[in-house]
Amino acid sequence: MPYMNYGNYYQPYGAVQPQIQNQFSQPGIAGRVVNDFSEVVANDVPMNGTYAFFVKNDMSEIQARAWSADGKIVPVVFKPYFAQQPNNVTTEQKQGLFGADSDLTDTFMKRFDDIQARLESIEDIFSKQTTVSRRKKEVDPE
Amino acid sequence: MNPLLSMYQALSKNPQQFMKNMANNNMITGNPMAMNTLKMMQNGDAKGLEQMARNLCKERGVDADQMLEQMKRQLGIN
Repeated sequence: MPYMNYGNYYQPYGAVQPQIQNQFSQPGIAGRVVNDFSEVVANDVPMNGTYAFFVKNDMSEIQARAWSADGKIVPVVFKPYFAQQPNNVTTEQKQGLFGADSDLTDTFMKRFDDIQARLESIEDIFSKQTTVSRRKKEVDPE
Repeated sequence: MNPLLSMYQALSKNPQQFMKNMANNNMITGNPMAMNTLKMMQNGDAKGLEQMARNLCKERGVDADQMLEQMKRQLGIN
């Protein structure tokens, strides 16, 4: 068997090739957990245009802050949304039509009732006019 | 050497070359604030630059006028 000369380089079996780290990969996300957003200072926000994320420790709000082009820090606010589960609906919560809030449903129903009443009054007026014109024709067809 | 001073010297020697170098710098082009600064410098928008500087000072809780005085002293401007 011919001897395969690998030169001076010797690599033990199973050795892992060193990986070249991507110098442009982000080491992590800037930001931290805070008790209140008033704790956040300008130095906490990186000046390279990337966002820093600040999470309130009670998870009630997350703010993403970055320096804007005009030198101000602009916060983007995220608040949690809890999708309603059937088991989580309390007895105090009343459901209106099509799952809408009951107050909203009541408002719409009142409007519909109002519109209906007006339509009925208009119908009455037209029907009275029609009755009067029929009587006139019966009395005096010509 | 003070980076601010070296920047001022580069700017005063050859402003156009300085602008060109900045525009080709990846760190500048990826940064909205830096790009806006460069744009205002190229357009000669001194008021815009001043307002940006004041906004920066306000965000950091620094008095802009005091900062200006300090810079003037550092750069030897009266």
